[in-house]
Formats: sequence, structure tokens, C-alpha cells
Amino acid sequence: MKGLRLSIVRSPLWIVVLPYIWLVLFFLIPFLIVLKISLSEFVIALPPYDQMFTWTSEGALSIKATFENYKFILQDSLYVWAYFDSIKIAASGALLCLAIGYPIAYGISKSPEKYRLPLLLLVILPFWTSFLLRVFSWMGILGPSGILNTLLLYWGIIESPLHLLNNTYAAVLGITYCYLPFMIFPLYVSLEKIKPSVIEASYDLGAKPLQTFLSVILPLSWPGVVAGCMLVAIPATGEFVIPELLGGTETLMIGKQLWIEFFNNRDWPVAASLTILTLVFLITPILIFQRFEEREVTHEFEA
Amino acid sequence: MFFMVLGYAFLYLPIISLVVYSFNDSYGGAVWEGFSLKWYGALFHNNRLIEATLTSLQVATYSATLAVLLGTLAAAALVRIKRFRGRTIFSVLTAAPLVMPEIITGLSLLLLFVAFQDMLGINIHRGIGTVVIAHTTLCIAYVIIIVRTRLGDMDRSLEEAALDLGAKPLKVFLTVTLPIISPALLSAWLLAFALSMDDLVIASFTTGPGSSTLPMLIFASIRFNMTPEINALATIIISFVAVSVLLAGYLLHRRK
Amino acid sequence: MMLKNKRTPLESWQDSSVSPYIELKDVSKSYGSDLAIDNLSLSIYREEFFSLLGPSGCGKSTLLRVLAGFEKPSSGRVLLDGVDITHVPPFERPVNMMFQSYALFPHMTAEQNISYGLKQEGLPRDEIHYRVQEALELVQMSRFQRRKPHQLSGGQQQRIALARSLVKRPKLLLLDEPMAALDKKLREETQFELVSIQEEVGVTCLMVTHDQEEAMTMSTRMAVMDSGRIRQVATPSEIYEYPNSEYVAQFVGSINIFEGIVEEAGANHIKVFSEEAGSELYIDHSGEVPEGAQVKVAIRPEKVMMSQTPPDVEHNFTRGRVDDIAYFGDMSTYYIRLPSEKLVIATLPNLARLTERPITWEDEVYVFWRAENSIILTS
Repeated sequence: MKGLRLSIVRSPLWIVVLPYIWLVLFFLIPFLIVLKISLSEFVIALPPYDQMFTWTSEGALSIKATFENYKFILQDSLYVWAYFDSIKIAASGALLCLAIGYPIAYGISKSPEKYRLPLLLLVILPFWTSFLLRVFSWMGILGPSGILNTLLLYWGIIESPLHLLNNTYAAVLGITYCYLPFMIFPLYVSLEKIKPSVIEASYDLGAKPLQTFLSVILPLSWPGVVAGCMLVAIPATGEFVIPELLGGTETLMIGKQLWIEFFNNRDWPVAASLTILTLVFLITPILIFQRFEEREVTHEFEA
Repeated sequence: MFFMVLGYAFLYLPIISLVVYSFNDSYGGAVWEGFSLKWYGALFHNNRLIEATLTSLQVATYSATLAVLLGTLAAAALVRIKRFRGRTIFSVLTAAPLVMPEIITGLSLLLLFVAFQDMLGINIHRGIGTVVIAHTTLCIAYVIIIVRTRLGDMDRSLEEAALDLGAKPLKVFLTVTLPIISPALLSAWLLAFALSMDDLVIASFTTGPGSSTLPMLIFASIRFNMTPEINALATIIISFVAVSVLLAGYLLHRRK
Repeated sequence: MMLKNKRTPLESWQDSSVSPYIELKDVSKSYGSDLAIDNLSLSIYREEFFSLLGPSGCGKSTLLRVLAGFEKPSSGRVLLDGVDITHVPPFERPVNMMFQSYALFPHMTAEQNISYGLKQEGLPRDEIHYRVQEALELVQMSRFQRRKPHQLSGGQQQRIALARSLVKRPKLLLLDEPMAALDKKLREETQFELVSIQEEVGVTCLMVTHDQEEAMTMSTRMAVMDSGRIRQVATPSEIYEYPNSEYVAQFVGSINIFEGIVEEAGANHIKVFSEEAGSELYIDHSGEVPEGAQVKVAIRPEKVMMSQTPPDVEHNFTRGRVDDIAYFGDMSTYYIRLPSEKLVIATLPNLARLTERPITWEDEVYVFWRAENSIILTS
């Protein structure tokens, strides 16, 4: 290679080097460090963990590793329940997103072309306002003296405020609300790719609208369904803000436990072990998601 | 159609409620006690808030720019180079931050900074710099998604035509490729900027004392129940976003 | 060129005792202020291969979609085999369509694509299997039944699409530019094959095309359309030899047109003086044109003859200079410039080898034609 020539046409290899280094340094290596710390002992110090590798006086390397943190987590039902709760809440949120998002995405893809972009923009517009504030808005709606309770009291439907906030349902609702655009987008992309003539062909061959939906539209939008569910469920599993602000004490999500371990208890090794365990849970869906992404971009259905 | 309207209502009603109650005279509660601008007044005298906003704007500008630079290179590599050593790992690394829970990204980055400090024996000042690194890492993945789609759709014979007409590769990149993908770069930058402005969790892990970002301040205020002031702040942010989007839409429309 | 000349002596459209199979009655379709179909009536008979020919945007595709049921006419009625189907949804019509880009279901194999329509009818599995295999054999695609559309070539996809629409045994098969995606050679082969399959299964076909050769080769009758209206309905040879307007004459094949004034309108002949041609033109059939009327006389290029010596004729000849020659191998097209600057096109078969060609650039030549070969056009 004669020097560095910026040729996109021939795409020199060096363009990959910079982002590669960055991602390895700031995304991959950190996980190795988390893994390392998850195997160290908690000490009251700064940083609050024991050194794993130390040089003994004879100049040999001594390695001190412990699985105590993992044992501690897996034996404590609090953490096990937190994992279950996280998955349950994230999955419910994803399904609810799918139920609300599919009609919207389908509606947009079927609108006249000039309305599609504005309608899509309307979907992401709330996403551009602060995430925290969107969660916060539900506190104002669901709270004991919030809008919903005030209205219900005013209409005489209830006599005392309902306990709407600080429960699991509120957390699911929050996840649904905040992650909805992540569902709508991949769904829209896959629905928009379906040629109108393919749907017409199905009608033409005698399939009624419901049949056509089940046997043509749904299977062809399946990549969008999978991508959307992954985009919602995976990050939602580790969600902290929503369970913290809407879920109350009864919602034990893993992200919240992690935050408490790290900031309140300052037990870094246990927090690191929680991270590693969460990753183990999520690595399979993440890899599936990545393969889906890859296939979507490089090899699309030829219709 | 009916479900669509319902869906949009679900998206917008909570936000509208924030705006409406920012003008409520009462401290908290849903009962309307008269129109007032006092919470806006309180907002403008909050120095910590102004400081945090400036910090967030700085962080978002730097990380969006860095992420667009690195993400575009990565996207070009993924679209244009079919085979290179470690391509699979690379494509996992570019897609994973999209779905990685923020709390995990944040925690692992903090531990990285601490470990660096430990290993190299130097003092890494945690503040704007570390948050920029963290946010850039997060945003690269989003940039890649956007730029990659545009590059993939691009007609490569345009570049070949430019080469054929005698332009050197760098010139081709600057005069043909860049203008064609520039709308994608702009939207990627804006998305990265918004993501950075919005992030609470990663910033909480990676920042240091004295460099609180806006979301961190908002989070603290919510916990201390300073409700009406946050309503007012939300209204300002929402108006800002709405005006920018309308302006962008108008400019786009006029260019056509 | 004509595949379809082996028909019964009296064609169904000429026999007043046969009622039409498909009837469009005063059909209009408008989108806002745009009128895509303008009060159009058309009758198509059983087992016909009928083509709609016209430039893009003439409304032919809309007409096809009205018949398939994807578009509801703004007014008018559509009858199929005596039944009013104007408001029948597409999935209940005994009409099937072969789409322009085939619209094969990308997630299904060829076999699943073909069986899809039969499954909707709820037929027993054995029958579905039998009919799918039959259809696959008909289009010679049995070997490829397990492939998905993206694993098939364009020609193979087209066969699957044809089988998919035929397997339901529709009363009417709609073909939307069926050859548009094929290359020239394959297109010619497929044209023959499609017609022979159509005759084998005896299905009534309505094809939309912008390719005049395709329409001429395949159809029993064709309609030439222009901005939502039908300009002429006739057999391909009638359309070619007796176009009823300049529009139809120009759209189907190329043609020389001379403007002139009727000098004499006899019982079995017309004389026209044309300044453009620089001579008197004689047409040996009459038309409904009064003396003194402004008309056009049209003559197809292949019916124009050329010589370097004065021809032994009284009328229908003029003189000019060879301006250009386009060589096509089997024939050559000569562009002859008349003194009036009018270009006359003459197509001559290359009977002799190129090197011995007697007429060349800049030659002074006479062009002439037989009186029965010219047509009088009033519109």
C-alpha cells in the first residue's frame, strides 16, 4: 500500500482500523475488566475491590480470583427474582409495543407516499424530547393526585385515589411508552418493503384480507417484528430509570439492583458480577439481533 | 386507521399534559389553580440548571461529531469491504451497543477508566472528556445504522463515473460520495446529539463531581419532587424540538 | 407475424348471436380531477386474446385494475359472463392477474406460490397437489418447484407467475405487460409459448402492453388507447392496414403522411392534391370526404417503391433525393427528401448483397406506390 489513500471506491482497509480500535478499547475491553472485577473480593478502599494480579516479593505473579460474588447473587432470591422480573417486564413491554406499534406502522406504510415521512416524524418527535421527562409525564398522570385519579374522582367513578403508580404495571406501561418508536421503525421498514402488487396478488388469488395478512403480510414483515422486539426487550431488561421512577419498591429490576449495589452499597465486585450475569442472559438475543441486522442490510428478500 | 389515531394519542397525550401543567399555579397535583408563569421564572434563576445545560450541550456536540466520523468510517468498511480479518467481531461490536442496556455500558466504561488509572498510575480526570468517550461509543452504532443504509442504496457507478472523468479518489469522495450521503450524516449527527443530550445512566457512571449533565439534574429534581419547575423545563425543551423540526421540515420543503 | 389466423370463418365478434363474455359499459374512473378512463365501453368474447395497446398513462393499466377489482370505477358497470361484478371484491372474482413484475410471494417456494390460490378455495389436498403439478408441467417448471423466487431467473419467475394465475382456472386472465422484464430474444419465444398455452387451456385473456409488435403477434383483437379512450378496436391486421386515425396509424408501425386537399371524390376513387408530395395522389377506394376537404393520405414505408428511372405510373409518384439510409440487415430504410423538404420513408428488403446496392446517398430517385395501398385519414 502506497501511503494512505482515501479511496472509497477501492475502500482501503485502513478505514476500518480507527473505529475498530475505538470499539475494542471502549466497548470490548471494558467487559473484560468487568469480568475481572467480578472475580475480585470486595474491600473498603478506593477503588473498592482487591487487586487480582499482584507481584509477590519473589517476583512471581500471584492471581487471586473468587467466585464468591456469583455465589452470593445466585443464593440470594432477591437477585434471582430481579432477573425474572426484568425479563417478564421487558417481554410484556415488547409485546405491548408490538400490539400498539403494528397498526401504526402498517397504517403509515399504507398511507399515500407524501404523508409517510411526516407521520414517521410524528412517531420520533416525542423521542427527541427528553426520555426522563417522558417517564416523568406518566408520574404526573398516574400519581395519587395525578390527572387520571383527579378525573376519576371528579367524575365520581372512584371514591379514593387508586394506587396506579409504583407498581409493575406502571413500569410495563413506561417501557411501552418510551420504547414504542424502536418497535415502529423496524416494523415500518419491513412493511414498506412489501410491494403493493404482492398484496394485490394475494387478493387476486382469492385470499380475504385476514388470510392475506396472516399468510403474506405477517411473514414478510417478520424481520421487522423480530428486530423490533429485540430493540425493545434487550435494553428494557437492563432499564433503570423506568423501574426507579414508575415501578416503586415492588418492581425489582436488575438494572435497579445494579445501580443500588454500585452507588448505594458501593460493592463494585457484586455489581460487576450482576453485569456479567445480565450479559450472559442477553448475549444470545444480542447475537441473534446482530445476525438479523446483518442479513437485512446485505441480503434482502428479492421480490 | 382508528388504531393509528389511538396510537398517536398514546404518544402525545402525556407530553401535552406536561406542557399544560407547566402553566399551573399550584405546586404539584392535577387540579388547575390558574395560569402562571412563575415556574419559568424560577427556572431562569437556577444557576445549576444553566450550568448543567451548557455541560450537556458541549458533551453532545463533541460526541455527535466524533461518533459521525468514526461511524461513517465503520459503515463504509461494512458496506464496501466484504472481507477482512475480524469482520464478524467488528460487526457484532457495531451492532451490540444498540441494544446493550445503558447501565451495563456505563458501569463497564467507568471500571475501564478506573482500571486505566490504576494500571498507568495516572490520574484520569472524570468529567466532560470521559462522558464524551462514553457517549461516542454509544452513538457510533446508531450512526452506522443510518449511514450504512444510505451507502448501501447509493449507486456506485456514480463514483466510477467520477473516476472515469478523471477525478482522483479523494476528489471523488469529496465531490460525489460526501454530497450524496450528507443528508444521512446530518440525520446521524442529530440523532447522536439527541441521544447524548438525553442520557442519564451512562453519564451518571462516567462523569465526575462538578460535571453534572442536564438529565442528571432533572433526575435529581424529580426525586426531590420539584415538579412544576420540571414541567416548565419540559415545555421549553419540547418547544425547542418542535420549532427545530418544523424549521427543518420547512427548509427541506423549500429546497424541493 | 400473425399467429392467430387459423380461426373459424366467422369470428365471435362478428357473430351477432354470440353475446360478449366481458362487457364494460360506460366505465369512467377519475382520480380527483384526473380522468384515467373516460366513459369507455368494450366487449370481449370467450377465448379471445385481447390486447390493450397505448402509451404509458393512457389508462390501460387502470382498466386492467378495474377488471381485477383493485379499482372501483367512478361510474359504469363491468359484466363477466352476464354477471355484474362491478362491486365484487378482487378475492371473490373469477378473474386472475399476472402482474407486471410477477408479484411472486418472496417467502414461498414456486410450488407454494402456485398452490396459494387453490388453498384459498379450500380444495382437498390431493386435488391441490394434482392441479399444481399439472400447472407446473404446463409451464415446464416441475424441476424448479422447490425454489424460491429469488433463486429463479426472470423467465422462470414469469412461468411461475403464469402458472399461479392459470391454476385457478379463471374465467378471465389479465396480463399486465407480461414480457416487460424479459430480454428481446426470450420475449419472442415466450410470446409464442404464451399464445399456445392460452389456446391449450382455452382461457380468455386481456393483455396490457405498450409494445405494438407484442400486441400484433399475440392478439385476436386489440384496442388502441389514448388518454382514457379507445381510438380503435380491430384485429391486428385491420389496425395496421386500415387505421382509422392518424394517431392509430402513427402508434402502430411507422407511416408516411401527406397532407392535401380533395380534388375529386368519385364513387370508387378519390383524388387528392398534395403540395407536400408535389403531386396528385390517387386512392382507389372512396371515403366519406367532400371535395375541397383537408385530408391526409397515408402510406406504409414497406409499400413505397423506389426506382432511379421514371416509373410507368400515372399517379402516386414523386421525386426526391436519398437523404439517409438505415441498414437493418434483412432490410434497409431509406429517407428520401422531397423538394418540399418532406421526408418520405421507404423500407426495402435487402434482396441483394450490400456491396451491390444500386441506390445510395444523394441519388435522385422516384418514389411511388400502388393506389390500393394508400389510406385516407380524416382525423
